[in-house]
Amino acid sequence: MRKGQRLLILPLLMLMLCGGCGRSDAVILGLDLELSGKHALYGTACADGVRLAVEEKNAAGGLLGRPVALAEMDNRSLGSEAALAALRLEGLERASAVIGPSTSGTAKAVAGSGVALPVIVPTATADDLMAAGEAPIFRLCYTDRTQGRVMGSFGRALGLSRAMVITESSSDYARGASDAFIERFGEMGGEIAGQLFYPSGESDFHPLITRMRAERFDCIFLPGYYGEAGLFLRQLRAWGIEVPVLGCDSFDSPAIETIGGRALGAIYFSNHCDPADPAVEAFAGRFQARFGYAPNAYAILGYEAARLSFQAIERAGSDDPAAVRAVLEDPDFYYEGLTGGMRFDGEGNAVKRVWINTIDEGARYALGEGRED
Amino acid sequence: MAAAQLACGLSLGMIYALIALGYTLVFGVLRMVNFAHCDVMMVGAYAGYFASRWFGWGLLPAMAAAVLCCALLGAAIHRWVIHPLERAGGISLLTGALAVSLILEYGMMALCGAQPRAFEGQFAGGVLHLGRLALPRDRMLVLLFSVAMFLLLEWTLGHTRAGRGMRACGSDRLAASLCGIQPARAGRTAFVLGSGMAAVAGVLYGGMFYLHPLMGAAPGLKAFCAAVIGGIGSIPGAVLGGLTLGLAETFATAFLPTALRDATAFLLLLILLLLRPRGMLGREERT
Amino acid sequence: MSGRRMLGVGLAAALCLGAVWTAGDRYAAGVFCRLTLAAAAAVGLDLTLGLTGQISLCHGAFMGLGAYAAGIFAVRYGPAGLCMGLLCGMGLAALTAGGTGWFVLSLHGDYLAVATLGLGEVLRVVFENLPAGGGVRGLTGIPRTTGPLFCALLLVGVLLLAFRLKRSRWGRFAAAIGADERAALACGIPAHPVKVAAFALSAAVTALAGGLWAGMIGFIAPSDFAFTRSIDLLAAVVAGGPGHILGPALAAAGIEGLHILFQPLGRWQMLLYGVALVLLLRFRAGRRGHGVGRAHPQK
Repeated sequence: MRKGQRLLILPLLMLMLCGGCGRSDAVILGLDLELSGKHALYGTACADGVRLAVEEKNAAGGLLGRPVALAEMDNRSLGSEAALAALRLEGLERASAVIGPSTSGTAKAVAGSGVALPVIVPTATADDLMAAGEAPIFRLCYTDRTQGRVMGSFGRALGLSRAMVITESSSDYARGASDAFIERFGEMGGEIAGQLFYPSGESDFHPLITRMRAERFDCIFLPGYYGEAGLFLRQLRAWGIEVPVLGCDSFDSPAIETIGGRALGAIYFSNHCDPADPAVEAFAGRFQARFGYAPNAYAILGYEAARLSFQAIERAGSDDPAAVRAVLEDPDFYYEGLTGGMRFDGEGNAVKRVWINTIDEGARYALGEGRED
Repeated sequence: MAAAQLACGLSLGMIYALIALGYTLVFGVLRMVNFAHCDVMMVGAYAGYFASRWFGWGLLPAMAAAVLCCALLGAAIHRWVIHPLERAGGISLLTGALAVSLILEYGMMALCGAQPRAFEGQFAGGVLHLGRLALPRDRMLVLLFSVAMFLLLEWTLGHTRAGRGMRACGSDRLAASLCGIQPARAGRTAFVLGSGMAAVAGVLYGGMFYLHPLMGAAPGLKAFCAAVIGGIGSIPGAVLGGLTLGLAETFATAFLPTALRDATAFLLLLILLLLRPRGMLGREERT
Repeated sequence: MSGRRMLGVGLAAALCLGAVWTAGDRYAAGVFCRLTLAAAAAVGLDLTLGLTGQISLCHGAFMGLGAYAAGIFAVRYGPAGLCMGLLCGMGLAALTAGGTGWFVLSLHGDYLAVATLGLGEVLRVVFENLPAGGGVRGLTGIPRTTGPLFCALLLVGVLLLAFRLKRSRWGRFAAAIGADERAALACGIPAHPVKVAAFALSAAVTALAGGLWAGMIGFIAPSDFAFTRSIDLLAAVVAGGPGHILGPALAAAGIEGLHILFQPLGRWQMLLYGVALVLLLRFRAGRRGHGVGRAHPQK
């Protein structure tokens, strides 16, 4: 047995040594995503978005006259793996930038890992991400707090006055958005009928719904992932509860209709883009043709993250991570893409528009811009 | 209100019971915890899904396809993982089952992607009306099939030769082999049967909720707790355990802080193990 | 004996050399720390699984206990706090393990596995609801004080402790219990207290590894110490040979190495890991031909 294990170490060393060679010509973009584990759902969609962007770029002639290569690292939805992957991408793979991770927990681990190359985080919305460490993080999505506040204001703007909040207990995303919603809704004169929790991966919401029915409310706030949200909506509507359901960007996936069924009722959620925008529709068509499923918010933001890094590298004129970082840290850096125009604020958070989307008889479109105030 | 909670709890419990039956059968005969059971269930769900999508089959034909698929899978797992590891002891078997679980989960993820899918149309939704009661169709199906599986198992174990062989191996392997029963064959039969039942559970569960390569993990763990609570190795125990757990979780959601609901199953498990390790209907453990 | 001692000294020297060599590059240091800490944690599990034959599926959670204790103290009080936290974590893990073990270790084989599974899940829920630990958000800002030398010294210390224990009188009691508990009882060995002590000690060692883990990554979350972590530890001990101490340590390092090796393979990583594990288990079963562990006697 020992012999066998010794034999394993040799190829490991070789792989580590040869890791950098063979790709000296290409500009290397690192991926640090959840390709397996409990968040594989989001990481793989993000990765596919990045892959499409890279393929399109290479077909159009590459970056700085060179092909773009992806160094994909699977962090298995674990913080320790994500941190190590980021270190590997910096040191061994010599990436110019890292895209990922796609969830807040793993992103925080990368923040604290001590890497110096720019990390473009497409979809991690935790409020305390920037405070988690000193790695140069540039976040493409808005924070939980922003989303919660936007939906709180929107709810009041719709004339809703008593909200029931349903939160996934093991998700910091859900908790952050819920807390912000409760605060904002209350500030604007609304009342909270109560807050109930469900464990992640929950599929049967009947006990929760039964408990809810004892309360009086005219809307529900559910910042949940589309799998559970879809099930919840299906079961909720089957009970005949027709109140509007407010959600966040994690609602954005065609799967919510497949899972939730046709009769989703009135739902509104904050999102990154307007699905009826022709550019977005064109992208969706290309994505579907390439990967066989319709893109969701994660895929779109993955695509945008890649395009943003291309722009930064071109502006820097080189693939040196320090130069790319300097470009991204420049307050004048402006990126226009599928999600509109955006800048980074001093901390690396995106300053961009929040769209309120709705799904009506299968048609998805944006009602307009959401505002926090 | 209490009646609604009760109905919820019982129907949730039947889902757990359906899955728990497979765990308990394999444990009773092979004396191993089959951690791969919930992933075989997931494979069954996908098999049913593809059968209904590619060929347009209805519930029963799709389920039959899933059962066939999982039975073959179960035979393969037994031949290549379980049987070779049997002589290496319980811990190896446990770890082997965990490894199979990983292979199934990530194999499916590599093949079909991580995005969730749902059965179309006829599986999901629909409500049956009996007088004033509105019963969800999918829950009724779960109840129907759970009862059918339970009866099938009881009959098989009690009245067929293969069943008697399985029971004999479960009680005392050495004595059984002395009586001319081949333990390996009995073990394989049990495993294949358990996998077939997992397929039934998978198609129904997938129809009620959605399909995803990791879908088996959460209900599997809970159903396993249910099997232990009811007495692992006992068929009626699996059903009783499932119902108990379903009721306990529903009432916990109703009356306790919902954030702690997740722990209900495991706390109940621990308490029961400390007070009555063999479970509610389990037999006395003979070493 | 002298040959073994030389091997031991050689191993310790190699570890320290490795620590110094990798200290410069952050990635290499990270890899080294992970390999050594995984090995130390696996040795911890081996103290109960290998010596007394008790299955535990919750050692990942014990690692978490150590990590959270160390992390919380370190965030509050800085690097000095880390040491306090390490001790606190070890104590807490030993108490939890000893306390629940007292009741749970009277169960046999698979029941014990199930009970430890339940305990692990309960601990996970505790981590998720711990306000000081950041709850589900995880604990950020842990000062990264764990260096490769620290980890190397830990592994050497743990290995030394384990070998000493194994050869001591207490260790022989434990081995006897692991082989055949009834016979051991008949010989007057106090089986239950020895099992509980082994469980508590193994929890403490794993917690120590967990505390240093927290200091290495700088961020911990409840999901880092869930069931998958326990599976990794279990796989390491089973693949390396329960009771062999060095075997599980090498196997754990090997498994971590496999994860690192396969990382660029993306979605195929876990599939290959599962297949490798099955092959490894079959290989061991085939060679040995007899029990890897007596979870329950096969008749």
